[in-house]
Amino acid sequence: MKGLGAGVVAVVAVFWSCTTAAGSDTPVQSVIKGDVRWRGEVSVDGIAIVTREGRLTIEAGTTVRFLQRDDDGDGIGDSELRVEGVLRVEGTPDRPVLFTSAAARPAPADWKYIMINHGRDAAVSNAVVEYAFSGVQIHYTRGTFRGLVSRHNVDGFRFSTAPVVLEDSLLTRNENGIRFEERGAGASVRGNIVTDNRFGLFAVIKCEGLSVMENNLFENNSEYNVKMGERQTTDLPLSCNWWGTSLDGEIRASFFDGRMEPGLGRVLYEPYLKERPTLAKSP
Amino acid sequence: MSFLCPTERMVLPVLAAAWLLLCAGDAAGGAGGVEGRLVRGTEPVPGGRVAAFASADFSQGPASLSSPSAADGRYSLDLPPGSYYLAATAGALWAYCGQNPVVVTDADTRTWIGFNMSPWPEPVVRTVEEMELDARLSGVALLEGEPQEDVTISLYLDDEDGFRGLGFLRSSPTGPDGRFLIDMVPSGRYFLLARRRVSGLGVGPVVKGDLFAYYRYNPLTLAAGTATDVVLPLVAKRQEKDVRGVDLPEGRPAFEGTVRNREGEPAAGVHVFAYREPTMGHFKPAALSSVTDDRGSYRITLPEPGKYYIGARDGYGDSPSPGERFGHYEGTPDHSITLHEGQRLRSVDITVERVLVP
Repeated sequence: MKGLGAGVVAVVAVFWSCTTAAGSDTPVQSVIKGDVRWRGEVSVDGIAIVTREGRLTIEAGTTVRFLQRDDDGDGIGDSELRVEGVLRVEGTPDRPVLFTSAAARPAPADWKYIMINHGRDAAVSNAVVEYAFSGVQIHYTRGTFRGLVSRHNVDGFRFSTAPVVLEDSLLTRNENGIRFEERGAGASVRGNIVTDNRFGLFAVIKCEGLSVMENNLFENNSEYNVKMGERQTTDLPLSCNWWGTSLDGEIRASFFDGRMEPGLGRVLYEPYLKERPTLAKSP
Repeated sequence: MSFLCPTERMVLPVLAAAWLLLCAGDAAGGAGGVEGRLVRGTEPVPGGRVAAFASADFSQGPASLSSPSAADGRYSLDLPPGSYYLAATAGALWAYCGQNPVVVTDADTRTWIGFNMSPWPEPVVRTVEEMELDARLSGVALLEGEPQEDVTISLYLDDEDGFRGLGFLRSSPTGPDGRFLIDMVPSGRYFLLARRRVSGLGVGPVVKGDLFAYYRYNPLTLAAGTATDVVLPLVAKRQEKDVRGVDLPEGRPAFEGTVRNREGEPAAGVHVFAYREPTMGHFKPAALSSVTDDRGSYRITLPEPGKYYIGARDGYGDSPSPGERFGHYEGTPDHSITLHEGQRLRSVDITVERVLVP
């Protein structure tokens, strides 16, 4: 289905009525099998799926609201956008695409996530994702994310086995700004602001230094700028980033790594930026 | 050693009853069952018997027993429909069926099951005064008498889960001398299994090329203050279970289909998984197929009716890796199927692609 007019209130898709997805019986609200465009106001109540042969394009200025529902009673909202085909989010700096909670008083985990899992491709430009469990999760898929603002989520941006490009984005006021597992696939993470999260960067497991993460700004993360998972035993190259200070001791103290917990990998942060860079998404 | 191992001696009355059952089965004729050969290496083993048990806990006694194997090692065992654990005994030689549990239908299908027999020395137990509260288990893993490296020995508390997963305790991989040691074992009754997987993974089904041993004297009692030393003769898994040759029992739901690549070609050597949770991979699968055959065919019997989420991949355990074949059932948008009691669903076809390979 193509070319729905602005102001459409409903999910644009081929409906798969009476079908449920989660064991919790969260309904599959829509199934996108062809080439579909969203624009204007879109609401998702349940699960919207872009199948392997589907392609969803979301136009600049679109607002996608996820209705709050907790079918399995785990405290995490169950509305979600699941992508196994192609996702194009075509926001602009002036007219970003907004993914948000439909609640009158929104809170983190009101809805589940944008989940790109074994998808064909994802390209996201200038989007705001807020009040989800994970703003964006991407697995087994190549994807490019530029100008993403992910805020008020549990995980701001989460990836695993995914050679993603994450650039010029803002991850803020999440539990984890970026959470990742390389698992044999390196990512490119550059020019991002990761601030005011509990943990800035969470390397969970099987991160082997395949990714390039530089020229990012990590500061004001309340517990640690970098946290190593309990089974992350490999050192992590993270040079050429700004860590909120130019003092070496303060930088090291902002890492929960092998220096603090023997057996964990260490953050290889040198050389580091001595001055706070000016980045595209600076607040 | 006599035909009966120590565990079996305790259940002699049950064996006698089974023998009567066997005779009745022979008289009836025409039932499903198993047949095959007992060999040691390439030599036939005459005079051995194959026993069918209801579970992997052989202390409960066999449900049925074959007549002695012929001069060429051939045996035949009629069995009523059901699921069985098979083992063969010939004097000091013994073998566990690597395809357990074997499913028998009431059709005329007779599944070919071969047994590669090995000698199984009884466990050697000695008292260790300095150990009061715990037991020690040690031993050696052998293949045709030669010590084997990188074999892991797992201890399970029961057989309820088909000895899947890592077990209650697990040894470090054996060294070049084939030996292992598990210290500080709480006293108790354990099932010992030894495996060396070509995949290098710690979990997953035993596949062609893997080495495997189910300890003959399972369940083994390890008493506090004792050290037990065992010998584990391994056998090499020679072929995958023939998923086409074994039909499914009545009552349990099942599904089957074909796995292909995106070009439509059959994908051989892939496992199909059925999960109860939509987040496949975060939980242990409820059921798992043998690897697909050259036609990409598979079949899975499910533990119970209900909704299952279906996927396929090369490996098992952990997450799919770059380059690994991986895919979901795409017949429904959420990759699920729902089966009722006794329902058999066909054409649950799956397309796999290599992860992150354009």
